[in-house]
Amino acid sequence: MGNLNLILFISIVAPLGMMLFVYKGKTRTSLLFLLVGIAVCLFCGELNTALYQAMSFSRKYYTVNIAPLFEEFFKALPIIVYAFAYKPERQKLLESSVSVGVGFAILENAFILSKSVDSVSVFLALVRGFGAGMMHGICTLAVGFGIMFINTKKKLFYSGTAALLSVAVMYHATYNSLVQSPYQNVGFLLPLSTFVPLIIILRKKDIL
Amino acid sequence: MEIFLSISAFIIAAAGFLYGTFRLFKKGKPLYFQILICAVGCYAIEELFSIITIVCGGYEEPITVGMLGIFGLDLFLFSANYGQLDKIVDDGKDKRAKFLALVAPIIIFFAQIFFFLFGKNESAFTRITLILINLPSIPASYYNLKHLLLKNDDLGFLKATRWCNIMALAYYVFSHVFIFIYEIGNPLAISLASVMNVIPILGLSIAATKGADLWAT
Repeated sequence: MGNLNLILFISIVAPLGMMLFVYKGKTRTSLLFLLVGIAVCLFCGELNTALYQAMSFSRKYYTVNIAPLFEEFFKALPIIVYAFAYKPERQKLLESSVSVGVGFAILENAFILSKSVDSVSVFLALVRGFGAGMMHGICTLAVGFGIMFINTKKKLFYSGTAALLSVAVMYHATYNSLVQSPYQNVGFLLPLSTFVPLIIILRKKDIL
Repeated sequence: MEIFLSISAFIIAAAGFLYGTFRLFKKGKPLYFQILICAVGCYAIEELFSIITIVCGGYEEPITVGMLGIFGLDLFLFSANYGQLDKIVDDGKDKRAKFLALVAPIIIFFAQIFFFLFGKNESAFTRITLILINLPSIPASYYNLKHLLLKNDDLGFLKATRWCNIMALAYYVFSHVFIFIYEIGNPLAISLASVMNVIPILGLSIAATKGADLWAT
């Protein structure tokens, strides 16, 4: 069958990548970070496979306590590089942050749903699509929020971003823990109950 | 029993976080106190993760990612005092305060070394991870103690933040006492210590809201 992750990656990235030559400005930047998020997911997928085989932890322990650490760190990396190199305005930085998270969720969902062909359904696709998409989006948005201070309050940036990254890791771990437990439905509701109010508050405060 | 303690601690910390968020996350409120409320929120998330861990059946390793809540809490405390406050209140003249403040990080450092060397039979992975998680408390405690020792500034910032720094230092003391009691292993003492641990967290939230009012005047 070949590497399913890579096959899915190519089939998603190729058509979207062509649009980079069509779009301009902020739209192109958001699309670029969406593609970066998809690439980060591919990388983290391979890394998680290798590390899981090298470590002696159970699958449940690994997916809750180890995988979120690496995934959130590598999702934050492109945003940190972008902020340092280009010093973008706040709106652009936050949009790019969310795009990385959503891109990550796209490939992750495609892989998970294609591996569960026997049990997959429209309902499951809706739940994973919105649940994982919002969850990954919130995590990268939190980190992007901390990175906002990179130019204005440098002393806050380092410790504040690290603290927000810790919060993002725990949020991700909470989601992974719940969706693998008998309380799966609570897990799927968690991103919905945080993403929607968060976006409303950020829009009200004119931050996003 | 463990889940009831975690639920109690979570409810207290979450109440402090929600109270602080309601009072302080408004336009014009100082960022310093908002960061302290974020620290309280980290503790609440850590307790919530403990509850979820217990409910979902637990893990074979004592180290869980929820402990990053403590890491986040210490980082936010450090961020608030070093990143926000220090440049405003320290003009560099008070050498005595700077020197005496070293007592806090030194005590925490040696407490960590003590637990690493003489702790229960946990694996090296567990012990090293616990030290790394508590690492930010070392520089954070320095700035908390320094800002308590500095003479009051003309603008009143140190007066407004005094109780916040006291609560932060109380938290460091209580959390290390908790680790020590955990090492001894008395269940009742562990239960009491784990509830006492959350009192300075709630105190931090209240001190932050009172401090913000004082800061404004």
